Amino acid sequence: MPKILVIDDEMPILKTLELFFQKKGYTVYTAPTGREGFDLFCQQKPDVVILDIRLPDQSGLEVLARMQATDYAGKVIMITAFQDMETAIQAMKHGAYEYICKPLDIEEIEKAVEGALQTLTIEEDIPLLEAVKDPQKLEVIIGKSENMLEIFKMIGVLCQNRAPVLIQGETGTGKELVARMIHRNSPYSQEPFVTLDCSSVVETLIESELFGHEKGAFTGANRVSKGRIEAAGSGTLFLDEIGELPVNLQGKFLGFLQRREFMRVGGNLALQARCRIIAASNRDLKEMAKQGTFKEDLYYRLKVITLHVPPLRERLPDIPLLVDHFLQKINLDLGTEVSILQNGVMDRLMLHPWTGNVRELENALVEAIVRARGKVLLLDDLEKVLATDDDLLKRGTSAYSLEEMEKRFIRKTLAEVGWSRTEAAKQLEISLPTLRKKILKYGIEFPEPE
Amino acid sequence: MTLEEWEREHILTVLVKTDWNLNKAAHLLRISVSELQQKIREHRLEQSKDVSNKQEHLEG
Repeated sequence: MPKILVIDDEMPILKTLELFFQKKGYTVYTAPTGREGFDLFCQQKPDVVILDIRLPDQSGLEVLARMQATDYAGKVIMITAFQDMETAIQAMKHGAYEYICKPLDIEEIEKAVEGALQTLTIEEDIPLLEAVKDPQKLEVIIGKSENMLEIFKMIGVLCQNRAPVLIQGETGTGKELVARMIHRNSPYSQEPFVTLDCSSVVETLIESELFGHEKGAFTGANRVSKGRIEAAGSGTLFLDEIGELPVNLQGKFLGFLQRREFMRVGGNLALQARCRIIAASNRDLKEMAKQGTFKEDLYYRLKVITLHVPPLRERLPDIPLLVDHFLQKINLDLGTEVSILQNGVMDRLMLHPWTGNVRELENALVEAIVRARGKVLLLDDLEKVLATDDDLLKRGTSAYSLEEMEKRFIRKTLAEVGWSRTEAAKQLEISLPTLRKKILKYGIEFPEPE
Repeated sequence: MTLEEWEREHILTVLVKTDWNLNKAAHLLRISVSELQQKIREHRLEQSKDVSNKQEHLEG
């Protein structure tokens, strides 16, 4: 029989709540002051406390703080006549479970009480996951499904040699992680692991990023710069989104793969490369080669050893393992202690289509954990996250990411002023060059002129 | 709205949402904690800390 303690100086409220919850079969204790309430709390150890923030003898927030200081883990629901966000924040910060405003809606209170009790039972019943102290350990590939075991086997074989590898897989499947695992298990694991995302660099700069450039090779090239190939030394160069490599560079890159020689931009000295190349793409390179957007010779050169990382929907048995793993990792990152899933959460996670794969799963968990109070991840919170902008989750940005939201805000402003940069800059109160830079950085596209 | 006003509002929303837990907020914003602290200073964002004052205000 759950025990409820109601602390409120308004007798009608006290009586109403007492009768209501008694009828529902709870044992109800009541107190009109903070002092009496706290004494009852210590004696009776109620499961749930309904606590008015305004009491005659002291503030409800003080009572809350004193309750939290005891080692008894009852859940506290705060009540106030004022709808005030700051007070709500204070209450939640001091560990209140929920915050409800007057005039009281009895159903709202009942729902909060039930939620609190549920959280309590879940916290008691399930042993906590062991907290992980070492973040390094968390960078591993998780999975025991058959198609993942196949990948593990291939990693084991490939780390013994230095042949180029092509990794194909949908976005968010963990292609870079596979590349890192090959590197880390190889004899040259102490050498650098260098990445270049071919889709994130402006087309004109990608050549110098890759091969480096000599002083004076182009305007702004004030000194010699080593490219990623040189930076990788005898380690691994990981080229992500190789399908985005500009066509004119694909030929040069093929030459490099064949001869293992390259020149810096503006240079005439052939340099010897020692690094291993691992390339990855979420696009079907074979199809691209057929259509002529990807050089066929390069495709054939790269595809000799191809790994296909399966999408998450083809490795459903791995989801519980991944969830376990991400909870530990996210708790470590955020300093949270969410370690318990409410009933139904795992079922819901198994049902979601996860078109953004493992990355989408991780991002959804981050957002749900930020919403969680205490140790339990609630189904409600998860639903809210999955219902929001899942496009963002797929691309690996948070729905609150400053850059992503700034981009949207600038685009919105531009659209509002009829795509006039001058007007938009005026409205945003930034200079025109700053606006231009941001448009370029975010890749904001303008509508075609009529 | 100017870009600066927008940024202030957005950051404040996230801070309130995370109860001013800077780790959580920075993670959601996808910036580092020190960047976030810098922005809090720039925008002169403040969390109202004084519970007792608040209380007087509420009861008054």
